[in-house]
Amino acid sequence: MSPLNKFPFMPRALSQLVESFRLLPGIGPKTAQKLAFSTLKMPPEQVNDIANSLRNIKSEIIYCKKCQNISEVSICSICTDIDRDDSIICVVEEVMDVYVLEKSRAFKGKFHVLHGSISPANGIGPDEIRIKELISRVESDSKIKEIVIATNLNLEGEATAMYINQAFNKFEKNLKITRLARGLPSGSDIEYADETTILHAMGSRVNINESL
Amino acid sequence: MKAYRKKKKYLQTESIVLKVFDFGEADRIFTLLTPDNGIIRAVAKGVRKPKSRMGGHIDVLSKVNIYISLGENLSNISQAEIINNYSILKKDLSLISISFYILELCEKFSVENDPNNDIYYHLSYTLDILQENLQNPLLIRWFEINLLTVSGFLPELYNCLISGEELDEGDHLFSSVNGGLVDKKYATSTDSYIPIDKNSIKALRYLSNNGWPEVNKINFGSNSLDKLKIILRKYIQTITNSQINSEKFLSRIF
Repeated sequence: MSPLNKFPFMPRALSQLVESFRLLPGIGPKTAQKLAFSTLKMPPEQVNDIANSLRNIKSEIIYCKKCQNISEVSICSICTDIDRDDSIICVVEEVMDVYVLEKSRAFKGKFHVLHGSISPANGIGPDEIRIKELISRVESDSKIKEIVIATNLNLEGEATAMYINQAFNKFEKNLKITRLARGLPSGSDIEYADETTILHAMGSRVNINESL
Repeated sequence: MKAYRKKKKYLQTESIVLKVFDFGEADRIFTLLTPDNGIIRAVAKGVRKPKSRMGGHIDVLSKVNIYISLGENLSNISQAEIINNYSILKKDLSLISISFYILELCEKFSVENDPNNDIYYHLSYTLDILQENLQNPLLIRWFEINLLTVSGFLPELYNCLISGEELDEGDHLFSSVNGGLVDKKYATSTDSYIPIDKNSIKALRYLSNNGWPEVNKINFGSNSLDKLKIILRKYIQTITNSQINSEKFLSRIF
């Protein structure tokens, strides 16, 4: 039964807003109703601001021609930043991953966003994500010396990393392909770690003087 | 008075993870194949967070011991521990592509809450062999034909589907719609058939009647294996009434 049927006297505009909120991920019928009623109580200026922001997100956001990250101009601010290292590219699955890496300030090179990972069972192959764009970017830019593959550490992410590695291994260009280290997260107890994580953590252990 | 629910609330079982997709902020929904409960779809809360205790234990292509609290709509995975991580398979892109393909086939041939432990043990056994016999196309064909057998879809390989007569040792036709061989002289123009030579028929019969140790000793020839690939894929597509998504990636890699 649709949640709208529980409120037969709900005005049409409000029920439409509830249905619109429900389209968002992680929003159920109850939360959608709460959000709709909160919107109703807001001052008209605030509601207008929200409506404008929603409109602008589709009209003003485009993909950077170089790195495929979201941007307001054809080449994004990260790609045009002259203080960043042009010789190293970090390949990530989603736009959100760029923000997480940027927040950590651990990486000073440039990015490439794939917009997904290879997931054969869901019909997503190499052609459905932006691997072709990465290959042509590396082919045409002689400054690039290293590719850091920062895809997720699950089977789909690993398959994507292997595919990219295979594609670049065919290159005559001497490229260094690296993968993010995997191991124990900070603040965790070894007691609860799984075998795979322990295996990788042990395999990629580092000299204590280098890690501090 | 509320009726007393006799339904079991918890389940502990071994399972193989067939598929996964992200759900909500940090959760994932897993499709698990179990020996006694068929397919179970369950959510693992917070599993995408780095500090999740379950994260390293549960992923596609892993055999895990899971503890599930059964819900009316969606069940919850409360604990998971690895039985076999199939780490050899996960280090090679060709083996990953084969694994994705056979996992998807198992998902298509299994039903939710319908026990078919033959499919589970067939998959488990095939994954073990795949770790030892790296990249053997014969293994994929053997897996397909035996999956059809354990699911009750083995095509008719000895008698003509139209006349019912025993087929002679010659070339015949394969009907994916009716599921089996048809003698050329009885073929109707309305049905689309795939021609199949006598060697490929023999190979198909041998694969369906023998276990992997016997099958692995025989050289069927690449022509017969290519023919079986076309026939079995067409037949599987007809039965499942859908495209096998992983097939495209498998053909590209392997």
